[in-house]
Amino acid sequence: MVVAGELDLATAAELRAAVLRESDGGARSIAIDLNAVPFVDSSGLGTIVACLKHLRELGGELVLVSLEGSAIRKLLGLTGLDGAVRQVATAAELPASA
Amino acid sequence: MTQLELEVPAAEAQGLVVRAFAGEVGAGIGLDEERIADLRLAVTELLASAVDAGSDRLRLTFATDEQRWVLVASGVGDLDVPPPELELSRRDLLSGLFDDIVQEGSSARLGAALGS
Repeated sequence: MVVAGELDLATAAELRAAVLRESDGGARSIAIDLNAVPFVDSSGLGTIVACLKHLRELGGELVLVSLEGSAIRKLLGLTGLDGAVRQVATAAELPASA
Repeated sequence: MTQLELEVPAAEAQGLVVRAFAGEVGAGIGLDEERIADLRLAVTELLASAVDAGSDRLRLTFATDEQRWVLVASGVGDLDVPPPELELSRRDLLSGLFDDIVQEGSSARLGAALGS
């Protein structure tokens, strides 16, 4: 799943809905590519955490695709959540299941 | 002292507006790109807090003197309330961006030395 644009309180619900559609369709491991997302706030991060919890409850996994120094990586570091979610820099590094 | 003010409805759609304001103000006083990004995140969190608190409006007043810049935000609600799904409060998040943050009632003030 590739996300583009700013991820904030006005747009985070769209991401959550998209992840739920994927999981309702049977997906258990989902990758969210945030390399085209120049801005993420705590609403966006909260949505990512909610999606992570949801997929783990289903026995699945969430992987974030984001380059070092990106907005999401900075926010994950700032909130101490950088170890809570699997991250890769590019889609080429994704596990086969995601 | 230079002072700029923006007042917007406390509504989700105003994120673009407050970030544009922060970006212009930050660039105008010579903040570097990383610091401008911090300021854009800060005003977005202040707006989100205002929305969560049910405030009608958010007013951002940005002032500088020769040594410091200060942002005063009115209508921000309670910054000690964590955003949904997170354990960290918005005050904690903002404290990670800027050393100087004070909340009094529904107003918050944050700032830093120019050039830092």
